[in-house]
Amino acid sequence: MSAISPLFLWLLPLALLPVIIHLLNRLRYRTVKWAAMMFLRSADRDASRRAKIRQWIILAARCLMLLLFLLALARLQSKGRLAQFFDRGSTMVVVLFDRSTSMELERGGSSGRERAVALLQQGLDELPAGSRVLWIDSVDQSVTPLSKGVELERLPMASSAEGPADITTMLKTALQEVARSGAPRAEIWIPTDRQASAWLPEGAGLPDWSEWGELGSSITLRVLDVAQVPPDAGNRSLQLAGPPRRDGEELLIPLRMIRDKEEGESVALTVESGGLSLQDDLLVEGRSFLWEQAIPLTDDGRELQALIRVPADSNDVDNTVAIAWRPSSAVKAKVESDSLLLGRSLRAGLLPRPGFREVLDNWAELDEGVAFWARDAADTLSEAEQAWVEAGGVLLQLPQSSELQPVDSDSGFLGVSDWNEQAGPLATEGGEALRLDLVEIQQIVPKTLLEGTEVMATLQDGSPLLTRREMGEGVVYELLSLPERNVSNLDAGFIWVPMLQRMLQEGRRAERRWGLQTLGDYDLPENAEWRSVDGDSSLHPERRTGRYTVNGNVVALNRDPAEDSRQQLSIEELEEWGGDLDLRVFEDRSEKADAEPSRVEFTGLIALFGLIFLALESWLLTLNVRRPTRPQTSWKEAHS
Amino acid sequence: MASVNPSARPFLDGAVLSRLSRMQLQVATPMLGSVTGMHRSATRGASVEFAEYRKYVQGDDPKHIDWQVYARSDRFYIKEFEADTNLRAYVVLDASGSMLFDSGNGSRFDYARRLACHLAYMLVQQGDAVGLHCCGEHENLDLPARQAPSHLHTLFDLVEQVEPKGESTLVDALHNLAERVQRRAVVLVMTDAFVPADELMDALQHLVFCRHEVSLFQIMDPQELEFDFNRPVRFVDLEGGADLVADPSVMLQTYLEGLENHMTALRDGCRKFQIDYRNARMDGDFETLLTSFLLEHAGKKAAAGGQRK
Repeated sequence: MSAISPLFLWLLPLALLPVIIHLLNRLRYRTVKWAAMMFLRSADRDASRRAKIRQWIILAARCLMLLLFLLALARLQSKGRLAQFFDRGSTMVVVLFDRSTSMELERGGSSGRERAVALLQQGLDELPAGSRVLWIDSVDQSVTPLSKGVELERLPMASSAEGPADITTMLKTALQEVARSGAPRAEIWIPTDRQASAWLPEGAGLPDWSEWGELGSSITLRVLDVAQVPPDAGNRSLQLAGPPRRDGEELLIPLRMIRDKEEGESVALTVESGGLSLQDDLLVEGRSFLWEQAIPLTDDGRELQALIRVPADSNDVDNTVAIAWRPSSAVKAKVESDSLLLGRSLRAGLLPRPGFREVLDNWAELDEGVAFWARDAADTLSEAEQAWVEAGGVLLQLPQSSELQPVDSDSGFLGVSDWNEQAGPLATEGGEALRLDLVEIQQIVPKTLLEGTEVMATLQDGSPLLTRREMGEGVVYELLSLPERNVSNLDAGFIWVPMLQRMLQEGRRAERRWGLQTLGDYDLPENAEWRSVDGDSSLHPERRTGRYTVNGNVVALNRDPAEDSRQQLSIEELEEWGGDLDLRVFEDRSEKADAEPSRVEFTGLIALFGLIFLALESWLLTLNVRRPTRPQTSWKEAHS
Repeated sequence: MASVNPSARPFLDGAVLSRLSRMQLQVATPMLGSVTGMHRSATRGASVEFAEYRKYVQGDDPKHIDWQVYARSDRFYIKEFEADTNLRAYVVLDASGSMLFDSGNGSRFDYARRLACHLAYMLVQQGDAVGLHCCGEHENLDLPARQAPSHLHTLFDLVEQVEPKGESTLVDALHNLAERVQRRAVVLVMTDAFVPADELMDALQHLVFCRHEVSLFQIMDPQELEFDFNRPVRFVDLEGGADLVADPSVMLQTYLEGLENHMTALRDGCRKFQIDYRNARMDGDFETLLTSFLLEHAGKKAAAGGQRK
């Protein structure tokens, strides 16, 4: 047994205070010359036994009350058998369901996901009545309450899916739900195959759970380890190893096959393209086999869609690669400015690279190829311009020189006090932050912000420097100063160039509605019309790889290669990941009886006993004491 | 009649005596006095109050023959009349150590002395004889009953000098008194009655058996009745016994039960033997106690009527 606030345990000797006070009172008697000793002696001899016992009980009750009060302050808790005895089950359970690709790997004849569903069903059936259960899906992080008696096998959110899982983010969502619910105790169940990419994505450090403070001490993480059962042998994962490249009349597609054995084997490779299905035998060896698969282009060479598969094995969902290719168009950026200086700065910042992007001046060339548009003009957009933005374009709005006003500062300039480092064109990337602390703004456009506008950078006087506003699928950035001498030092380039580059990339992503995407990284546009190219109704662009037609464009969604990684976290690494959280790893929940149970805090029980002793003491103190009646002056009065 | 100046005695209240001067201590029991007085005599006498008829026997004085009865019945009957006499009263003052108890209302013995002296004064005033007996382990004063005012001085002097001490000898004193006093008298016992109730009742019963009219004044202090202590106390026995350290809250209920039982036993016993029991609280009105005592005795006498014992 331990105490959450052990400092109060040092005060336990104070529980003897009533005894000490009682003894001191006994020593502090006064002397009284008494006449009616005959009554005193008999009282002391006979009836005080019961009264003395009552006095001792009152004294004991007071000592126990003090003791229990101090123990309640110390917040005792136990992890051992005692906790097991008192542990009556959780009042709230949150399930973090990982249904990433790796969970489809078969283990003992059933996939890890199926095994997880079975274990979860068993656990849910054993929950006491009144327990509240929430389900967090790895596909979209959605939170769904489950009712008692639900059959998990029938739930769509328990069916197979692909795409990565982010356990850290799911757990944070779960903790938020627990905190919101105010449940005194909660369990978080995590069925997992311990795949490292789900728990610790590449480049991510150990999560810090200390911000959850006291909430963390009332939560138990039960990791249901489906990786305890070794996967069935003979799994092959087929993944896209790079962007396809055209070689004459063929499209070369770099592919990688991840195997669980070293020995060479012949694998039948099927390529479905242009209505044809071609089969090839591939001699593979080693655990990771890389090659380029050639697929003939169609006559016009404009686009190609293909599915490349290997035979089904112990994981059916990692055997297919989808291809949707067409010659890449240049990423175009349009610069529109009457200022020579500004135009030059914009072009310099966009840094056109041969074959990849070009800067246009002609508005007539504003088409789908233009991803980024920078202009200094009036706020109002024409209908066509607005439509371009709403279709996914990124517009950078710059002020005209006549709109600028000097900043109100003794030094003549203002620095940037705050900016969005998490996302957007000023974000910290690769651990390197932009040096907005070196920015000096001398002139600015005072601006009243429209509703829905996000401030990306703020000056020292609180006025905005850069704002962002979404418009349909597109974005409008507004810079309220200019990269010109005597206006700001943005022309120095250390902010200007990366900002423009990132805005361009953002437009590029919006512009990309054709070709290869990674499942989990692809945001299906709202209200988009989509269908599976293969006509498979079970496929969904948010959950399953494949080829989809989205708003008339073809998108091939493939798995994140990290999902094929066999790297697993050990139990110790899992516990390290959990930090101060109470993390238990079980093969299945029935192991709970053998495993060390969760912590149980006894504060409530202690407080209850304290109240009982208080009631007992109060009752004993208020027992009626009979007193003789007023002395009678005559027999008549005594017996009337 | 008495020439005692009440103001000269610290335990006499002249104002009270003045207010009570019209009242007299009357007894229901016929007395056997030595002189003519205001009380009914146990023997027949020459008063004007008709008592009864009896048959004439040789030797009776013929002048007492009721000739009208003879005329009606042709038999000789003698008319007898009540005799009036004075009474003799004995004040028994408990002088044991327990009478020194004082919780701030004055000592119990002072109260008893005051009571005794007031009654003695009134009795001598109305022509009755008063005697005194102080009983204690170290005091055994005995003053015979006299009705002379000078005797009252002697009584007061004695009462003033008495120092209560030691264990109670009340029971023995009452038994001795019952044996010693041959002719019926009024016995006024002033005590705290902190002796076994059965023994005390035995002694009082002895007195009643000897045809004395007994009044028991149990004088008690409010602290003895309330026992309102809120911390441990070392009780020191006033009669010289071992002291006792105790937590009064522990023994409160049992003490009060014992006290109540004792007082009930005394009350019931006194009722049974027609002993006048009075419980006097020392914080109570002294004059009211006296007044009620005198009035009730007057009422008893009136109720007793012509009954002869």
